[in-house]
Amino acid sequence: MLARCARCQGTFSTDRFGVQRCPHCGSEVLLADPNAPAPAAPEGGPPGPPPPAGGFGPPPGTLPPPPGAAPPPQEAELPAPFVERAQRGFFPAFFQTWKLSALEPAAFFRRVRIDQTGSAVWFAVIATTVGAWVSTLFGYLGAAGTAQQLREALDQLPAEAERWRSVIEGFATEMTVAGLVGRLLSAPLVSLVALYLGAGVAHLLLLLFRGAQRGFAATLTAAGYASGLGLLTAVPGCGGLVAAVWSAVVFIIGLGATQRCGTGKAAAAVLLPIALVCACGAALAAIGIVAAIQSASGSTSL
Amino acid sequence: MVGSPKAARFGHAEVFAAIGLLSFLVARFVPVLSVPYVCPVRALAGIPCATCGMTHAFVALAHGDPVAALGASPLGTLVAAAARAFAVAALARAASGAPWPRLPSRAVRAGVAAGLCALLANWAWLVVREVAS
Repeated sequence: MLARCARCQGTFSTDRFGVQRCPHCGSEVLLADPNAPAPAAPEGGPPGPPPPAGGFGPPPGTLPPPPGAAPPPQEAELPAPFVERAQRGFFPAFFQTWKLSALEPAAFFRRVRIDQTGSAVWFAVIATTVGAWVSTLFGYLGAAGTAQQLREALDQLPAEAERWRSVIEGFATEMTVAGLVGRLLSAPLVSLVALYLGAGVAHLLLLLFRGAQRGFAATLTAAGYASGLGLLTAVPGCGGLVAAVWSAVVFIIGLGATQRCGTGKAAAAVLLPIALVCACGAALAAIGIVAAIQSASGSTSL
Repeated sequence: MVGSPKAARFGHAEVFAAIGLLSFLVARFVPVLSVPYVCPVRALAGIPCATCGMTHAFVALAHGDPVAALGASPLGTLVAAAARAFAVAALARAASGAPWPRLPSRAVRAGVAAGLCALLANWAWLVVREVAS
């Protein structure tokens, strides 16, 4: 018969029921015998939810629920694969977690345990640090010559553009070797601080919207595993933009799932700071443009 | 975060306290103001953004100059003072072993709303001051 692993979704052939190993990822897979007698319910209460079989995803050997079907009332929470990195191996555990959080965020965050925030923080720091390191090195290699060209171009601009000089100087300073080393060394600490501050702001806003029923650990878990997308900043060019957008989407889905508050409140908590910054930026840019047009028209009339 | 039954452990609150302490150490001992950085919004529009002046406020307060800190950013001064007070409170709590006080959710929501209003008021003050000068 054909069986499917709930964790890696890989299929394999087997000729027996019971607990066995997935040949693709090594997870334990429980194939229930359909002819076996149903176990008697324990005395003193209703039967609990079935034990998780093989990790995240639907139980093996079963068809997925039809679209629109209501989810089961209670699902057992499971540790993320990265929590089990000692048993699974560091890199397989890391990339399984990355794949689950990036490609199946709703299912992953609905069932991930929120009391293991240390692994979520560790996962986020590794991913964002590696992404920052690679993008910094690419930036250093590519922008050293660009900074010199910008300096030369700046010398030919009129005096009105003087305020850009400090911006260009700052850009050029970041491209020195000292700036490069400083950024590389500070990247892990910056990642950690940014994770906690981002999760803190989102959690405060979620409190405001009455959506933080499960505490800060749930918010930090969602933020940590969503920050794994920071690894994409290592991709030159559009990697940073893709990582920012994708991680925001995953954070919204994850926050709604881990806090059980729904996507609407989670989106409000995540997007409000971004909207505030964008609104302020757009308003200020509009003011600046109007002022520049007025200034230009005034000088022309004179 | 707040009201943890395991009062003596290093939890999320202590991480935030460490970040508050780190902000003081960086502002006091790292020459962050010598970095030639200009806010992109100010460079583009000539008007400060909502968080402009916060670095100056953190540095001025770390050097014991609250007047200069308030002049740079009133909200930045408040945030810097709150961060350092929280770090001291975390140290005191760790020394005493007492649990964090549990705040009513209504008070937390009111505090968050007040913080948002303070951010907008601080930005309006910065813009008005910039335009007037």
